[in-house]
Amino acid sequence: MTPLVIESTDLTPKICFRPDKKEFEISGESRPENVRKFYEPVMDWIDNYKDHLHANKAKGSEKLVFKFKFEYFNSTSAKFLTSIINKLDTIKQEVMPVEIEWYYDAPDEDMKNSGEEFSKMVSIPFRFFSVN
Amino acid sequence: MGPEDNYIYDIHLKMRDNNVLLAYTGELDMKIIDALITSVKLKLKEVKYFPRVQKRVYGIMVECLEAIHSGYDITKKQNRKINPFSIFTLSCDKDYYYLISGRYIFNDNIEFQRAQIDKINALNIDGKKQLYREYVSDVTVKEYNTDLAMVDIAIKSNNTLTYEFRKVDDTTSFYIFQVKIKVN
Amino acid sequence: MDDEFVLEILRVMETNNVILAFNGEFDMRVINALVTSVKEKLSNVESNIFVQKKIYNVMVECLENIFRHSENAIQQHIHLRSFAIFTLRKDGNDYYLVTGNYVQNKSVDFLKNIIDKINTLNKAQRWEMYREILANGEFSDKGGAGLGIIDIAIKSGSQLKYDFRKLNDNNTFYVFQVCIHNNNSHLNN
Repeated sequence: MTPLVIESTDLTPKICFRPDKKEFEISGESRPENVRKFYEPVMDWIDNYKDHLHANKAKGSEKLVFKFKFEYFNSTSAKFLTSIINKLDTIKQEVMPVEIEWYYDAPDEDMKNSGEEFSKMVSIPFRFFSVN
Repeated sequence: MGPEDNYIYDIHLKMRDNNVLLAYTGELDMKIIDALITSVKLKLKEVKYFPRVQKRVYGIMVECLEAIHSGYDITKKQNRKINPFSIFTLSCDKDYYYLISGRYIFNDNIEFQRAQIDKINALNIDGKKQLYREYVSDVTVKEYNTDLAMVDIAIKSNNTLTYEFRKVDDTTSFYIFQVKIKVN
Repeated sequence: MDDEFVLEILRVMETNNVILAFNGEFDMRVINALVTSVKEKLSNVESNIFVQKKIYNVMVECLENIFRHSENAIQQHIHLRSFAIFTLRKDGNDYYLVTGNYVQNKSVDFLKNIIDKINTLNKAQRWEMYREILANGEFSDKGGAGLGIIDIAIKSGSQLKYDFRKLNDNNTFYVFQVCIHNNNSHLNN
C-alpha cells in the first residue's frame, strides 16, 4: 500500500499515512480554500486502505492508531473530518481495532471539546493528550 | 487639506474610541481574508494571557469572514448582483472581544438569515451541540454550510448571536452580525 | 447592539466613495494582500491601464511608508500605537490614496518641510531630489520616508497634501494624501 504524505501549508494540515511504519497522522491547521478537493484524496486513500486490509486478511489482534493533532480546523473541515472518522469506524467494525489519539494545545479546551464531540459519534475509542 | 478629507481622522477616532484592533472595509476576497486571519493569529500569539480565549477569537473570526464571503458567493451563484462592500472589525473592551461583520443582503434573504440565528439562539448549550452534531454528520450537504458555521460560532462564543438588518432600499439591506466573546 | 460605529463607518466610507480601507497594524502580509486585491479589482473600476498601474505603484509606496513608520516606532520602543489607516477612494475620475498614522511630534517639521519642498518642484527637479536622496546615504537612512515621499510625488505627478493633528506632548496623527489624476499630468514640467 502506497503511503499518503501531503505537506502542510498555511491553510491545510499535514497528512502522513504510512502503513509500513504504522504511522497515521493529521496535523496542523485546516481551512482549505477548497475543502472537498483537499480531503477527497484522503478519504479515497482510507477506502483503498480498507480494501487492502480486507484483501490481506489483516488480523484482528493488530491495532491501527490514528493521531489527530490539529491547531485549528474550520466548520467546513469538521464535516470532512466526520466522514474520515466514520470511515475509520467502518474499518474498526469490519476489519480490525482502531484507536484515535486526539492531541490539543493545553489551553485549547475548545479543541478538546471538538474531539469529544467526534468521539460521541463513533464507536472508536479516543484517547486525549494535552500538549504544552 | 480640504474638509472633505477629515473623514480619515474621524474614522480613525471612531475606531480608536471603540478599541478596534483591526478593521477592513471593501470587497473581501480569499487573499484579504487570509491576510486578516494570519495577521490576527500572529498578534494573538504575542499576548500571553488567556490563550484559550484567543484561540476562540481566532476560530470565530475565521468562521465570520468565511460566512461573509459565502454570502456573496451564494448571491453570485444566483446570478444576482449586490454591492460587494463589506465591513469586518475586531475590537475589545475589558470584558469582551467583539467581532462585527457587515454586508449587503437581499431583502428576500433576510427571513432565512433571521430564522437561522433565532433558531440557534433559542437553544441551550446542549441543544446547540446536538444541532452541531446533526449538521456535521449530514452527508446530504456537501458544500460550505452556513448553518454549521453559525452553530459553531454560537458554541465557541457561548453567547447570544446578535444581528440587525438596516433597510437600504426596496431590494437590499445592510446586515450586521455581532459575536461577543468573554475575555476570561 | 454596540454596532453603531460600524454603521457610521459604513456611511462615511460610502459618502466618500471609498473603494477599500484597512485600519489596524500593517504587516507585510496585510500589505501584500491589499496590494494584490486592489491590483485585481482596479480593472473593474478603471479602464485606463496606465492609471491602474499608477495607482498600484503609488499604493505600494504609501503602504510601505506606513510600514516603515511603524517599524521605526517599534524599534525606538515608543509606545505609539503602530496602528494606521489606509483608504483608496474615487472622486469623479480621480483617485485619492490617503494614509493616517501616528508620528512623534519631533518628526512633524521634517515631514512638513520635505512635503512643502517637493510641492514647489517640477518633474525634473523632483527627479533630481530623488537622486540626491539616493546618493546621500545618511539622509536616506534617517528618513526612508523622505525617499518614499519623493517617489510617490514623482509617480503621482501631483501635489501632495498633509494634515497633522497633535494628540499630546509626544504624538501627532499624520494624514497624508496623494491624488492620481485620470487625465494628463497636472504638474507643469
